[in-house]
Amino acid sequence: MRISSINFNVFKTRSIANVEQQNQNPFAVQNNNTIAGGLKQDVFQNSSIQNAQPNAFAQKTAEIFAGFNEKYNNFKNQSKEFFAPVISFAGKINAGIQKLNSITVEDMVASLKKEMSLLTLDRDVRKYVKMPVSDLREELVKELA
Amino acid sequence: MSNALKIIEALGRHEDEASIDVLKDVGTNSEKEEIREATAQALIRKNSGKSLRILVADKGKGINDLSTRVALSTVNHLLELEDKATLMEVLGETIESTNCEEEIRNTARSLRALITLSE
Repeated sequence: MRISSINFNVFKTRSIANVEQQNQNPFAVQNNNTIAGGLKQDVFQNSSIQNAQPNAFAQKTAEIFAGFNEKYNNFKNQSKEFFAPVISFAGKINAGIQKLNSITVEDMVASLKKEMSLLTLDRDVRKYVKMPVSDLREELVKELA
Repeated sequence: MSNALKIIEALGRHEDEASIDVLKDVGTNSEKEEIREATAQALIRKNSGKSLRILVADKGKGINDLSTRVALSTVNHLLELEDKATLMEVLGETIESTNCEEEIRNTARSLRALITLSE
C-alpha cells in the first residue's frame, strides 16, 4: 500500500466528515478533528509505519533479499545440474574438434581408403577385423580343431 | 568361404602386429592346403619384415614347406607386391644368413632372381 493513498483516504473520509459535523475551521491547528489532526491521529499514530520498529524496512528488505538469494542459489544449483550434461557434451565436441584439427588430410584419406576397402569385404571378415587378436586366435583354433 | 578362411583374411588385414603371431602359430601349422595358402597370402598382405621372414626363412612354415601348387601361388602373390623393398631386404638377409639351411637360402636366391628379372 502506498502512503499517499492512506493520506488521501483519511483526508476524505475522516477529517472532512468531522469538520462538517462540528462546523469548525477545517484548517485549525492542533485539533484532532482537523485535516492535520486527522492525518496525525489516523495516519501517523495508528498506522503500521508509526508502530513499526525503526529498522523494520531494513529487516523486511533483508528478508526479501534472503528469500531472493535462496531462490537464486537454488536456481543456480539446479541450473548447474540441468546444464551439466550439456556442458559435458560441449566439452566432448570441443575435444572432438581439437582431435579433428590434429588430423591431416593424408590421415583422413588413408582412413577413408581403409574403410572403403573394408566395405568390399565379406561381412564376417569385416566383423573379425574389428575383433581383438586374442579372440581371433581362439576362434581360429576352434574352427581348425 | 569357411569361417577359418574369413578369420585368416581378417588377421591379414588386422592392424595389431600380434595377428602375425596367430598366423604363424595357428595358420602355418594347419594340415589343410587351403588354410596354408590363405595364411601365406595373409602374411604377404602384411608386407612387414616379420611376416615375410616367416614365409621366406622359417623352416617348416615358409615356401620350402608348402605343396608345389601353394608354393607357386605364394610366389605369384609375392611378385604382385607393389612395394617389394621389405621383401628384397628379407631375401638378402636370408641369402647371407649362416643360420639358414642351404635349401632355404637357395629358394631365397631363386626368388630374388625372379623378382629382379620380372621388374
